[in-house]
Amino acid sequence: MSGAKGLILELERVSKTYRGRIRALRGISLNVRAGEVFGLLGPNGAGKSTLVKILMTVVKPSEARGTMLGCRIGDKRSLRRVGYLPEHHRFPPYLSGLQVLSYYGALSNVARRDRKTRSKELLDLVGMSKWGRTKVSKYSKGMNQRLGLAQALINDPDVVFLDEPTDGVDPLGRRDIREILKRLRDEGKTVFLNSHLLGEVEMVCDRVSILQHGNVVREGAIKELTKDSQRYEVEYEGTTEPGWLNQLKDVRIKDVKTASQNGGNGGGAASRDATARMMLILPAREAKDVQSVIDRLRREGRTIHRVEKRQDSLEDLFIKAVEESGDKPAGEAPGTNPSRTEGAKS
Amino acid sequence: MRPILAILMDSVRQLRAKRLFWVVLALSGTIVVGYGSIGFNEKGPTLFYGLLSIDQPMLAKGSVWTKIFMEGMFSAIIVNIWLAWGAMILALVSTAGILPDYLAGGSIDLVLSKPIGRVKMFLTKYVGSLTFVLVQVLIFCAGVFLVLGWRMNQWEWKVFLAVPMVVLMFSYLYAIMALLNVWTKSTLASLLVTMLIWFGIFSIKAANDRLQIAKVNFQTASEVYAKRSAEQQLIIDESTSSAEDEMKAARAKVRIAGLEKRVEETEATLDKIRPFTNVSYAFAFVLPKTGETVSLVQRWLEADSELTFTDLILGNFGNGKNAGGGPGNNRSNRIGFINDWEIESLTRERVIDYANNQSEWWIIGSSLVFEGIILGLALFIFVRQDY
Repeated sequence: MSGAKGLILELERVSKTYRGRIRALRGISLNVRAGEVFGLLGPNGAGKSTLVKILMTVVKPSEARGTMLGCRIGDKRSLRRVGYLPEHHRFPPYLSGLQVLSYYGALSNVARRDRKTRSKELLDLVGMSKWGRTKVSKYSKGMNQRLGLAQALINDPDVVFLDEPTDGVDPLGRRDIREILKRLRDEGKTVFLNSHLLGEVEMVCDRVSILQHGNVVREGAIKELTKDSQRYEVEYEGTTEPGWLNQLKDVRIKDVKTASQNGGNGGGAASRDATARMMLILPAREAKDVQSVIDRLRREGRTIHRVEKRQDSLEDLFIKAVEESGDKPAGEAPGTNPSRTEGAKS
Repeated sequence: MRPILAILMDSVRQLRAKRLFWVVLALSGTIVVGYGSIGFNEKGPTLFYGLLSIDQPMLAKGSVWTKIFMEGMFSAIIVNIWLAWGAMILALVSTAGILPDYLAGGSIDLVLSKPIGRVKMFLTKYVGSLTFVLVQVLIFCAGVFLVLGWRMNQWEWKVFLAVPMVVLMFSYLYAIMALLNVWTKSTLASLLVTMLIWFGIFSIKAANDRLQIAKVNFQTASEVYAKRSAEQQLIIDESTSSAEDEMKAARAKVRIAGLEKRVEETEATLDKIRPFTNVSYAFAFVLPKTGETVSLVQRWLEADSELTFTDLILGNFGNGKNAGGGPGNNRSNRIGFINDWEIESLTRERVIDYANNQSEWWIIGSSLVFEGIILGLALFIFVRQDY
């Protein structure tokens, strides 16, 4: 039932303007492949939840083209094979954990016998089997999140949308949830993860999309998105003359940057700290590309303290993407065309 | 079908979780126990399971009035007062939060993301909310049924007619509350405005009743005066030249003048009240018939009997159904505004005929049309809204 090229979700021109002319989404296009863990990132108000709510038919789009599981967006039939955990979800407080799973399972048209079997399995999966008969009004935030995750899986969905699933969960619980997400991926299910916790996303997501002001400003595999930020950092003792930097450029090392040990990319200029240690940041992907620089430093009798290969984290990428897009109006934000995001540089 | 059953089942669980549900049930139980404490012996009725005996031969054991008394107590007092007002207010308070809780952020997202259409979802939740009253009234009527069987040795299945009627009445009001719920999403605002509208409906109904009675009363008066004037004219027409007849004719002329003046006065009064009667009738026409719907229970219970609970209360023993009393009928029983026995009697007859001739289909049908329109509006908002 999934669309072309194993796509679970194909979105084109999804836009939403709320009353009062608040433009939450400005014509988003993105694809999610079957069996991947896809992360949707963005600062507050970027439109992440609105996008998920449109897919879940909670919010009606101003415009939406595309398909989910082979059905057009907004078609309730596709929701039979979808699981959803909303942010700040609230379960009826008079129900027990098992009753919650049975209730939402029945709403998803799951047969009674399957609900019964699956509820116990899922409670076990999320580590809540001892609390199945306790009213949810007595649950902690973390327990509610775990139950929410179980609820999203009650209909054995092909794709599961999780909005901040680790919100309020302790570190051990987060680890458990990460393991569950990986397990779902291994079972061939697609996970659509919406989270602020970039570290979490980086650990489990195959691909991400970064939203800002209702636009996609980056989309792709995390490795692909950060590969241009690969660099070597060479920390040495001493000072560097401006002419030396020019010579480096002559030996094909491009865009040489130096920075103080105390942090901050120097933007191509060398800076000096109190201990007179310098750090060259060399935008190179291979070790051989930096050997000549190291040789030169040694020849000059400089002590090399550290040579390290570095790459931007997802958080760095996120901050850069958001800062770059700034408050630019619709249509001007970079990255709305996915091809531009691939080559984005700092 | 599975999602629908799940929503209905959830509604039952939700009402069971409400403390007020058990409070109302306990109050209803107390009323049934109190109702069951009424008995009859050779002297008259007894209260508190025979502890207190009242000397009233009319209601002595074996009297035809005892059944009318017990059924009347149920339909005219318990249904019309406790179920139609007391339990209804408590039911509205209990159910006021159901839809706002359902529509709250984090809650509605979970439900809307399931493969069930919004229309089906909303209507099922609406029907599910009615189970509060349905369960309450069903248990209550079962209690009354058992009491009647035990005390009167008559298994009167008609008492269960109160179940659909009270649920219907509640549904009219709950439709208003559902509209306010989806519109404002506020429990308190919805409850208060619904109560206000309900009391507004009651006031309009009461005002319309009085105005329509006044209209009938003055129309009747005008007709009676015209008829009497015609009778006097006949005396004049049939009079001969004898002194006695001339005297009669002279008196008749004076009477005709007086009667014509009265006709003029009543017509003038009718002209004055007509705009008010028209407006109140228009309002009463479109608004749901809350009181009339529940009163149908009494009508159906008394359908096969010549004697009614009203006759018993008014002391019209033996005059039969809807007897208006004689010329000596005291003022407190009067419904009209003109102190004339014939006019009063005719007015009463016409008003009762009018009330009894209002068809059940009209009362329920017109109310359901109102409910349908209000519910349609609520549904329209619910279906179009983003959450």
